[in-house]
Amino acid sequence: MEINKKIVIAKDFSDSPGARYVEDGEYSGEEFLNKILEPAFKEAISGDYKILIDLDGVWGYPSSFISGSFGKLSLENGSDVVLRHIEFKSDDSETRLGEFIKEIKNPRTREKK
Amino acid sequence: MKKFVKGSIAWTYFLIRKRYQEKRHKARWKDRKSNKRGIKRQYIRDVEIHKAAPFILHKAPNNFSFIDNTNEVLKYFNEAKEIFRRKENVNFDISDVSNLTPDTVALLVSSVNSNKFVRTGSSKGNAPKKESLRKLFTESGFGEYISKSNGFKKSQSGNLLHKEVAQKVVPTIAKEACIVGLNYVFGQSSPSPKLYEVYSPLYETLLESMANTHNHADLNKQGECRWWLYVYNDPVSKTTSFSFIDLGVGIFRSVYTKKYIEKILKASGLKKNIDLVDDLLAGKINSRIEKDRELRGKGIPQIVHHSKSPYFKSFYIITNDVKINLTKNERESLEFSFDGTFLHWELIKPQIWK
Repeated sequence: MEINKKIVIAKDFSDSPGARYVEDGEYSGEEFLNKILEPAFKEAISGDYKILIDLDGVWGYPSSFISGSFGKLSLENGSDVVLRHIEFKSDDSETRLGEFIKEIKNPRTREKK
Repeated sequence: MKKFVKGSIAWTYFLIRKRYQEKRHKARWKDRKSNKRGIKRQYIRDVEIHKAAPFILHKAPNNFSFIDNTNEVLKYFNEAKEIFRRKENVNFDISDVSNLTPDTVALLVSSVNSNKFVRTGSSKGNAPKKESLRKLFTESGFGEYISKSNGFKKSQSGNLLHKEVAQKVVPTIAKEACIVGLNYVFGQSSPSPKLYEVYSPLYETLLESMANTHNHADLNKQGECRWWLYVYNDPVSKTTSFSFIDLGVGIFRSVYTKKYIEKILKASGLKKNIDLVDDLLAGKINSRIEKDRELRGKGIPQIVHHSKSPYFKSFYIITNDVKINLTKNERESLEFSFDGTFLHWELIKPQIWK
């Protein structure tokens, strides 16, 4: 599948991502999901293309940010669909790539009550 | 002239007024009002009593280090809390201490600024006589948060003492704290790829500490707790220490105990907080927040993972009656309880770093 869109988190969102929810504070995972990730993901599905997400140039990715954005997206759409339309790039660290893919493949920490 | 007929505006106002008057004569209304007035009156009385009360000289333990001498320091702070509860004021005497560590400065400043701790009382204090400790104390910026008249002053040492009044997760503060540490320990202040293994765990640990406070601070009101962050550059060891503190209720008191039998065991003392440490560190303990419960519980495991970094030294978590040394994977039950959560670690430049 062709890559038709690129999101550079450090430039398009923030170099210092926050926590899970908008009410937690600035640059939350929820804010990233609603403003950038989900709209781009929906377009990628309808246009049948991939998005490249550049993870470099950021101070760090708190687990609550990853879970609140990519984890939530995966939970709502399924990990296969998400990974079919999203590709990651990180020159800073291979480990970082693994963390995002792991979150998408397995967003749940426990079963829903 | 306005007509006072059924359906007119005047009639509507009349009905509103009538309903209000009726409500005011109900016992429930009277009880609530008198209760409110009673609380206000009590508060004013307490302020007056505290104003007239003496300052009790409260001598700090010789080893005034929260990390090294946790039980004695907790005892000291619990005694101070008790003095305030008795409606007296506290004069924190730390003049003769032979050891003072930055983590204790953070604890002191957050305590004397907490209404829960001080109530309606006042506090004052002195600085250590020992020159090196005096320097540490005055350079902390402690005086900025106490009183301009107490002789404390803030120096331009590069240390960072931050009180988050918005009571939220603030990425810019985490970034600023990272820059302070990176600059001091590694001589660099930007997130260069060479320092990835340093700044990324540091930033993520700070952010998750803030998020944890936000989630566990209060049983009912998420985020209604002030946190403090003290970043101290140690001129002797050339390390930077990070002390993160909130005076909420502590992790274990905010824990959601799912099963009835667990509640009974906990209440009866058969199950102690220290028995829950492994579950806590593995993210298996629930906070009381219901939203997205199946997604939550990754923050503390991320902190635990980063605590093993070769760039971090002496990583501690103190909450309620439990002290956890994450670096050595040790834990101990404390004699005195701490109402809040405290995280402390040091950023070091290990031998392996070139």
